[in-house]
Amino acid sequence: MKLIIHDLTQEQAQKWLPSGKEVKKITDRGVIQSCIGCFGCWVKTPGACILKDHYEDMGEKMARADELIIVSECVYGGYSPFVKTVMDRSISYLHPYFVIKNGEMHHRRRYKKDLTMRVYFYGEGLGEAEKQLARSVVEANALNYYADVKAVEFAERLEDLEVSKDENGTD
Amino acid sequence: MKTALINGSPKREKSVSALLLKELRDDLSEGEFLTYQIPLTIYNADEGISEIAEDLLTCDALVFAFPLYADGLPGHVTAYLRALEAAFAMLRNKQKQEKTPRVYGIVNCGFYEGKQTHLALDMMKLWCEKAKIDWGQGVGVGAGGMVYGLRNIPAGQGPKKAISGALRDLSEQVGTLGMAQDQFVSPGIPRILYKLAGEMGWRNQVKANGLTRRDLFTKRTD
Repeated sequence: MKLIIHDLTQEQAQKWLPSGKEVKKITDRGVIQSCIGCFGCWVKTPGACILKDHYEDMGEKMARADELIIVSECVYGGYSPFVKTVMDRSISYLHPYFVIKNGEMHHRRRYKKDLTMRVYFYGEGLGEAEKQLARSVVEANALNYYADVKAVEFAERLEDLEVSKDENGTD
Repeated sequence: MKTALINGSPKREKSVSALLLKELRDDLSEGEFLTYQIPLTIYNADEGISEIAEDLLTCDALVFAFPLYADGLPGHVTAYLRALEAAFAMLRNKQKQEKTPRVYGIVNCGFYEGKQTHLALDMMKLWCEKAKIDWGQGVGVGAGGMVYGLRNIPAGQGPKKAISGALRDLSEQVGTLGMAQDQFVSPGIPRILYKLAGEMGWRNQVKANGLTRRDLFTKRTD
């Protein structure tokens, strides 16, 4: 299954993003709550967020996905507020315990699996420094989320993004 | 000298960012301080922002403190910064910009290495460019999970030495509106001890919630 976290409107998503049985889209319904930093997703309801607003099962959704696709406006070299808030609410995908990887501390896996990641950023006038920062952010996310980065792409306008509808033949 | 202290922590209690800002403020001691709490939402970030922006543009220095979330700025901090960028532009158009403040950032993370905050600090620098204000210095604090537990140890003592040293250096930059390389620090305990203490902490917390240590390993796909 492909999990698509995006900040497009419903109409834009229908037009520009893959759809079908094998695609799960995480859309901004105007109700997402911000992570309150309580770690309840690790020690109270392990594996799920305690905030009940349709976005509490992100960890499970990532666990059921093979590919994580992110479509986001690029904001200060990172994700847009909605996409970032979804990511902030997804740490139940990981286990609270620590491991040392590449000489640095990271979280242990909760699920025995590797994700692949494709990230599509859009935004006008993105400079090389901003794109480089965004690539570094995706690489850092991939290291923390046990993912392989298959693509990080940029486009001036949403219409110019070619989000892969392809390869696995889904959709 | 007028300094704004802007806290992006989601917590009203036990906030590490608040503790770090407090220590910086104690180091600065003199001058006028404005304090702000970033709202914990990504919606309506522009509500009331133009008054805040106007006040911030009367400051000499802005100090932001927030936790690292998934390698970057928390979503609600991104929303707030974007609203501020737009409000600053509007005020400049109306020639209501009194000063060009210099921006400083303190980011703490749960991982041991303070260095893991560097991407969030780079995002702050990009924001400064876009908001047309100046960057000063960042401090990245690792092992944030134990900073609150050290709150009763006097600044500069024992395991607090490195963090207090970095905050003192930062206060010198803020006080002189200087610019310096980012500093990355951790509390003065070995990484393995932080790891073990952290894991014991998770086990204690899960048990305090009426669960067992096995529940820490719950898989929602089973």
